Amino acid sequence: MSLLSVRDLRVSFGAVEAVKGVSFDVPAHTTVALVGESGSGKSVTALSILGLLPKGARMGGEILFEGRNIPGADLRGAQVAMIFQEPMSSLNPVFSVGFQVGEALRRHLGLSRAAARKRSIELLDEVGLSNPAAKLDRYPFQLSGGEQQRVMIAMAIACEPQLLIADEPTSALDVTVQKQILELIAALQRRRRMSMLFITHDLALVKQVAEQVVVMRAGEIREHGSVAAVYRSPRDDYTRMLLDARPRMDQPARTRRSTETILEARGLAKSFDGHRAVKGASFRLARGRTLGLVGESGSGKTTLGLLVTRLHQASGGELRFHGEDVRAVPPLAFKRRVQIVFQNPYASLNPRFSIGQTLTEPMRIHDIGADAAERRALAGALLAKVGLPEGALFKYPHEFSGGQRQRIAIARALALEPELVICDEAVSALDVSIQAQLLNLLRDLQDEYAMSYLFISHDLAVVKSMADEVMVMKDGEIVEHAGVEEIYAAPKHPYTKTLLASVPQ
Amino acid sequence: MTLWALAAQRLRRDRVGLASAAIVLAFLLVAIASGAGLLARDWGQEVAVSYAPPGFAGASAEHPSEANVPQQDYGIADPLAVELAEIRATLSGAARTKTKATALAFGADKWGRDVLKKVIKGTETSLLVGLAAAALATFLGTLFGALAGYYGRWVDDLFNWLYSVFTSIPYLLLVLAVAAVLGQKGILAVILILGLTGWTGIFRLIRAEYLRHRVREYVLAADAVGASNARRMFAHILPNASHVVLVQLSLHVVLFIKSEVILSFLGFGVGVDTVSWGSMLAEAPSELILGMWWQIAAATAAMALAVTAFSLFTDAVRDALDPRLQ
Repeated sequence: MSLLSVRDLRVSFGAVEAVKGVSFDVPAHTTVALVGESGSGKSVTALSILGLLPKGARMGGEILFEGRNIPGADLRGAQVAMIFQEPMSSLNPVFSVGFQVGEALRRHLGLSRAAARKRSIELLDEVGLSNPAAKLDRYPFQLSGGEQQRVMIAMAIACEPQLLIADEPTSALDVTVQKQILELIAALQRRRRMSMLFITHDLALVKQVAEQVVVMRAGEIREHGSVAAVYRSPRDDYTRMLLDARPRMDQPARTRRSTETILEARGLAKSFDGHRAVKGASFRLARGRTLGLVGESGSGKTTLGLLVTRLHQASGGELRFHGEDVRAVPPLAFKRRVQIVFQNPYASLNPRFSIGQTLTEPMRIHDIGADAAERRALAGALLAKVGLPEGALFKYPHEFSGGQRQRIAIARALALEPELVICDEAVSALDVSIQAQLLNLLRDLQDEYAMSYLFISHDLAVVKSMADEVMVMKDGEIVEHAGVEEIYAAPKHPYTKTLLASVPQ
Repeated sequence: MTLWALAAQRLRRDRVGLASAAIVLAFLLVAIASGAGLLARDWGQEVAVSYAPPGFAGASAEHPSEANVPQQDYGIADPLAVELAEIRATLSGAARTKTKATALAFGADKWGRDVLKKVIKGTETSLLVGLAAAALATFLGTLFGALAGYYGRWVDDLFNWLYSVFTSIPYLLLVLAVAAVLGQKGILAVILILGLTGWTGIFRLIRAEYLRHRVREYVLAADAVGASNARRMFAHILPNASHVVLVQLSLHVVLFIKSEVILSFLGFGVGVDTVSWGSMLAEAPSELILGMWWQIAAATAAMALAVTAFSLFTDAVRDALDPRLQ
């Protein structure tokens, strides 16, 4: 008998049906992965199991735990526990770690304060926190992201649940930390003989953690089977597309030759109030080529991108554009030739500007196009280039999906026909299928306009699919810089090796 | 559909908001009609006996003309008697023998003026003061907040220092100090007093909005395409903070209507030749002792209705403009 069976689950919010008749089982001592892109209904499914759906949601179907229909509220904590995506916002910032771990123990197991404290230390030790007794009195903000997620896991296993629901437990974490957390979860699961429902958008992770996989799309199950079978021969078109969409680490890189240097940095540095975010970066960017910049959060890669666009002023070093010191180039003339595409398409478009206004603004500032009508025609042509209909000109950003918005942001950068575009995590916020389309678009546009890219990403596979050369950044320093084949095949720096070893294959 | 159209759509679905909007609109129409001279133009006329009570009971009473009272001239003949008699003859009837009502629908004040007309005229004054002062305070607060929040550094320090100075002085004391410096009474003085002292709260909120938006990616993106500082401040960020501006504007209308009442009550408000809800309330203490309740009742009712409607309307506008839609 399965530990958990979901039978014809239906959830709707008003007129919107988020989950349309989903059935699957989680057998004992097994990990089932629930995979899907944003809006597929995977998180809603998990919340229904625990009875955590928001008010106003209507739920139909059956959720059986050990064959019995138990309300989610009674399962929570003791039999089923959950780990959430964002450890920072899942922990209460005003209570110490010890209090929060101890709360579950006192409430569900009725332990005394002293006993709860002793048990909490054991739990923190079990999840691999160093010096657990001292960590107990810390507050969440005093811990790193990985440590916070360990605390969340300690809370989840505190009452020895039989089923652990992990909702994207590592997607907010760096790849090296992700690897450690995944190993921890796997070890705990073996030791405690738990079942796990692992929710993720990342198919590569599924292969590492799960035995069975359920692929969801738009509230429906598209494919369901053992991981090995689904990966070997996916039966569903959507699953196949998902598997193909992800850039692979073993694909050949595309490299182009070019000798003309358009931008050169020498010892470029930036400090914020004594914190040295970028400690002397030197590199060259050649026409029509892509320089990948890889690093984890806090490595200084975004700051370096902003220094190159001159949106931040460098506090040291030199930046030369076509051999000329950029400080001698008028800012407007420089901006016309160097553009940037930001990570979050929900934040980088002004919500009060129509798409037409957004696209014609750079033209107006730089006197491109004779009048409003001509500029509007140019904007329409740009939209066509990035694959959007001309009618989009009169709409506002909130009427578009994330992928469409990123297309608009790319069109805005193209409006000035720049020589260099900085792509700062330009596809990281998007679903894999959308990501693949946008990477193709960026490649096509690069060939068409002979643009150079500085392609910043934490995702090594994405960088490999785009870059000619790759720089690896850590703590504000470029620790390795080499051609793309070379760096992926034979990394020299220990950090690069760790990074490559952490990528889920 | 634009965001404004979406906001209007949400506002239309809010029944309380619509009802309060109708009341606010009615008050504005009354104020405009009064200002244009269509309503209550003759509010200063003594149309009733002093403190005529509210009601329809008393019919008009003939008041004896003072001319009929025999005058004691200590035996000296009035040298102007003939001329005076002629003047009285030309003014005969209408003025001298004018009938004064003993009761009016809403009562009369000490000088026999119609309380209803005073309320209407007072609406004009109070709304004018409230709207103009709120516009001035919002303008100053928004401008200062935008500059301080956007530029930061010493500009921010300067405005924060100014803010601290203004907020460290007790409000009424500050208002009275500005009133003393302006040295004149009247509607314009009241507007200036309230506007020049009332921008601080708006400044703080708008500054916070600018601090928040300044580092947003869409502002960076505008910088990247070459938009100037002024363009980023007012074309990019301001529309995204406009809901705060609008809500603060309407909140301050309410606040300043009440402030005008306090100022007038304390004698720093509008002059004796103007009537406002505040100046009507200022007359109330001595009347209440004598049991004359109708003037304070009328002014309070009008003010309570206007302020409540305005507040509810403000809430509805804030809900409708909530920008947290994707």
